[in-house]
Amino acid sequence: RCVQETGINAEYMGIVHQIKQSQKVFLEGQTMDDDQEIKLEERRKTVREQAYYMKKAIDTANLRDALRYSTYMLNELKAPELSPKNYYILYMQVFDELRVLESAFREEYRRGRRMADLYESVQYAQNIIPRLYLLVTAGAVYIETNEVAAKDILNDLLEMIKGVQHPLRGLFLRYYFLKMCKDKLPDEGNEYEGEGGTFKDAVSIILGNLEEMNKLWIRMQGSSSNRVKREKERIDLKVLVGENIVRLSGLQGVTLEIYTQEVLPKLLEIISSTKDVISQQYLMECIVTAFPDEYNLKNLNTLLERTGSLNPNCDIKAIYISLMDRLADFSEENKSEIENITQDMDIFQMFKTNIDNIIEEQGQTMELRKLLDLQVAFLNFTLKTYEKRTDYVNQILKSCVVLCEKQSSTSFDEDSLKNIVKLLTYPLESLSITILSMDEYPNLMNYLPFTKRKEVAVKICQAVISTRHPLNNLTTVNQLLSFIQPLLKEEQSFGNQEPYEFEGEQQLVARLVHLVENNHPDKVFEILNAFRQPFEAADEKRQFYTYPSLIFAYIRLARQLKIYNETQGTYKKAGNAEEGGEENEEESEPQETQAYLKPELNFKVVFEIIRKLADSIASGNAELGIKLYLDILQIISECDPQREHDEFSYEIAEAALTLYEDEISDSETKRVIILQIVGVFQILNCFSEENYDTLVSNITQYCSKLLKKNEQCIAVLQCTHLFLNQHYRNEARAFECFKKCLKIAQTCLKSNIKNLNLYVSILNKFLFFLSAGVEAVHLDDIQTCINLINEKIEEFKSSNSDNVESVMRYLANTSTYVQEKKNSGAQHFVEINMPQYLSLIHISEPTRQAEISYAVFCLKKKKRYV
Amino acid sequence: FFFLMIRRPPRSTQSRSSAASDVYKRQGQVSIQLGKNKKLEHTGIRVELIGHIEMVYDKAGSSDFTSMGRELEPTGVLFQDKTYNFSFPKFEKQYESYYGSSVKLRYFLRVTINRNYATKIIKEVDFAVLVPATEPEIKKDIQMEVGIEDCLHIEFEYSKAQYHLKDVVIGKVKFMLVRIKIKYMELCIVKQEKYLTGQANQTQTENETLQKFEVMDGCPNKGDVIPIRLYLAGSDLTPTYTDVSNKFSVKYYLNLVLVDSEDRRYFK
Repeated sequence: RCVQETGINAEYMGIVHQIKQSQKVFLEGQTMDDDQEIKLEERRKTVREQAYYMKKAIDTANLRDALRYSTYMLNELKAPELSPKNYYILYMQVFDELRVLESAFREEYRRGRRMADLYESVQYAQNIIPRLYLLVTAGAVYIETNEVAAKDILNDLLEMIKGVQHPLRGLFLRYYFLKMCKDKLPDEGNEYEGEGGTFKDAVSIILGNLEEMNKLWIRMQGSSSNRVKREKERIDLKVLVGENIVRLSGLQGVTLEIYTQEVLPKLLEIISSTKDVISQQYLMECIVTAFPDEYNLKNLNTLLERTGSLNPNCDIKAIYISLMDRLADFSEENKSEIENITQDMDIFQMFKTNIDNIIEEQGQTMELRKLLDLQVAFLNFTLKTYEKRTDYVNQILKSCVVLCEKQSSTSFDEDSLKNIVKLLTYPLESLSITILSMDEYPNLMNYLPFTKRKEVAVKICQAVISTRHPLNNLTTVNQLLSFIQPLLKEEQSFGNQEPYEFEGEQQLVARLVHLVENNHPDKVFEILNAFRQPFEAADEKRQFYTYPSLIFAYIRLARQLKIYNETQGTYKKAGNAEEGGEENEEESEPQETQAYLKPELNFKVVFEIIRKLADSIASGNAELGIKLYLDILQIISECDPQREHDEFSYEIAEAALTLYEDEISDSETKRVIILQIVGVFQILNCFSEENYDTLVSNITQYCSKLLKKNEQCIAVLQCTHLFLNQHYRNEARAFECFKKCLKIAQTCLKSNIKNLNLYVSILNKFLFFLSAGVEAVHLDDIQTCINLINEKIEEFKSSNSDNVESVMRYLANTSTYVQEKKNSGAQHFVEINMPQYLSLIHISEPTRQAEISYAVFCLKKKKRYV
Repeated sequence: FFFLMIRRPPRSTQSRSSAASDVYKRQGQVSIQLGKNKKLEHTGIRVELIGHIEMVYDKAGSSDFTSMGRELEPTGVLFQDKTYNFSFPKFEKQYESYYGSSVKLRYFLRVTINRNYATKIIKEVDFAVLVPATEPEIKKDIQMEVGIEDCLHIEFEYSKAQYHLKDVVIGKVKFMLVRIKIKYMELCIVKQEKYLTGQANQTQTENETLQKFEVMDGCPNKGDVIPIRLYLAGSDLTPTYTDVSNKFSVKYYLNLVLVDSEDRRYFK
């Protein structure tokens, strides 16, 4: 209509034609599959029908009809048009139906029919397929009767089956034979042994079947047309063939000895009798997987040699890989056994020679990826079998390096790179840090692009960290550092990275630093310096993660140095008199190496370094910087009771305070940090008094400049400690703080009743100093506080403050404390008049009656036994 | 209305031991039962024992090879039921009964009531004759190498050249060369009847495939040996006959047939 009406003709017609064409093609493709489906369905239907009649005949004990209908049913197995998959479906259906017939045969025998007659009469069937299926079924029942030797029947069946030479039908028939004779093979210890033959008969029967099946299987390949499809079909059917080997391995009689002397040589003979790639490969794999690993280990040499002589197109490496993987698992599970075996024979060398051969022969044609697959499996096996042989691992790596050398850069695809990564990371799991001693390791690593190298580096770090093996050797550390280079340095070509990944990586590096440990500070110092070098060279992003850990490592070093100096000092005092008694643990190591420290190692140097590191952090991240500065101050104060580094520490403190003032803007952060500063400063003891005064007054000022009044109050309250601590005492200044606090609290309370907690805090602080024996604490002040709280408490309780409960509990505890002090007659406390507050918590707290009684009970019980 | 009945004597009277002898006493009874208040006029009642070879497609070629008769009643009138005993003491069983598709060898008894004005009343009853013989000595097996040059070459053998009726044919086929695509192989039992036609004294041959027995499915490879086991009990066989009364022979053949993928049949 379109054409007629609009006249857009030529183009339109072209399109219509195209659509029709493509529809046709589509439909044809469709019908191919549909045909199969339809035909299969038809056959299945016939089978169902005939099976129904067969069962009906069986129900009426009419064996003749049963046989007739089962023949009709089995005729469907002729099905020349079905693909292997569909044929399998059909086969399974028939298989199930034949079970009914099988039990009918048994029933017939029980009723007194001679099995020999039955065995004959099923052979009257005209067509070979039904005849042989029936024969096998009858044969199986015949064997069960024990009237005739199992091996005779089996051999007869095996002979008759030869009539089916059609590959597909033959394979399935033989598979049926295998299934049926599964539990009827004469084997060691079963009922068919003896008269029925020995397991050797069974072995030869199965081997015979395997040989024939293998032939049929190969024949399936047929002519060269449609090769790919045929191969696929064949691979679908491989299980049928493999069933033979499974059966063999299931025989009790097949011991290691029999296997070595009889089964394996015959199997290998069958395998090598053809040159078919699929068959050779699959059967080799079957041997590897079906028989116990121990058997294969003992026969490794034969296996390997034979494998080498297979069709060159065979994927030998797949066989090797599965063999090695299995052996690896085996050796992991049976450590002791494997040791014995490895003593007797050099498995490593065997594999090595054979693998080298493969590489030599096929190295040119095979893809690098596959060759590396092989090496990976080999490595895995070696690692699991030879636990401590780094030289072996090194050898493997070396051959990999040789391999890589020969390749052009284009052949490194994603998979081969992955394999190289595997090669590099597998040894880590078991050998960890010892990989560092392998000279081929970095060579191989060089073949990787940056991302992959980094991946490996991460793995290395993880491995080293997970072992928690201390890093105590400068050379090791240097090697390690060179390995993890990708983590330490930015590479130009490298693109963006997820921040969390980056963080994870850098944290790994940081954790490495923490592993540094040596009894001698000199060594630690050297190692840390080694770390410091690359860290310094890196960009800030990295330093943010690496420096803190390095700083802490140095701090630890300083601490170690201090202990060292002290003990050395005692040594000198003791005049090298005695060893043992007084030494602490670190010193119990041999001492010849650490008699004297190098002159360049002293606190000064260490502190300088730390400071430098902290400075560079601080410039980027003020908050972290302040915290690090505080840490430095602590360590200085710890190591320097003589205040030798007064000026130096002052500088640091000043830097920290400047940072605080200039860089921190957020009020909440400010509050947190200033509290930290206060906390640290009250224990510091590395300043001259003058400097300390200056710093402390600065801090107090900062405190009182906090944004919120209540925060100010708490912060200033804390500052009291700055003036009253074990190193410094200035009561007047402290009380200035108190006064200030009270003043602020008062203002706060006026504005909001919720701020009553400030008073509670102040009260506590008073009580603290009172009990610490600070004389300047006035009881009056305390009493004022208490009274004030008393007045306002009801109001406070009814307020909607979030923390009413916690404040009340605080208050209750405080009053209890006062009460206790009073009772114990502590000085000053007697005069305080503080009411008891009922803690709200009492109401909601669950009773503990039950648990207490339980505890009592236990105690009593125990006591009795004691 | 009347019945005519030829009755076989009770079994006990036949002695088993006499079965071996060629001359066999054949005896029996003929009873004639008349309807109520009827009479039967006749011109004689006669019983005959006849051995007859019948050519199914050639009536002219048919002939009796033996015939004996007994007069049971001379011409007269029967007024009541009557039973006659008869016997053929000198009956010679030369040949075995045979019922083939183109040739039949029959033995039968015939009672004839001749009448003047009406048609004869004839009743025939067949009986079978078996001639026991000693088992022949088995001379040899069958072995043969056959083939088509550069195409197919097989060797087959059967264990025997003579079988009894419930025997089993055991054999094997060895494939020496296979260049064709064989679809299947079957073993056929072929019955061959050869007989002389009456007119031109010519020999006619009639072949009939009694059973097809598939012995191989698919195409074998060079060197494969396919077993054969065929139970004869499953098919309808007769003994082999050679030159019966110079009229006909019956032979059996084992025909090995190979069918290729284009449905060409190769046989021997």
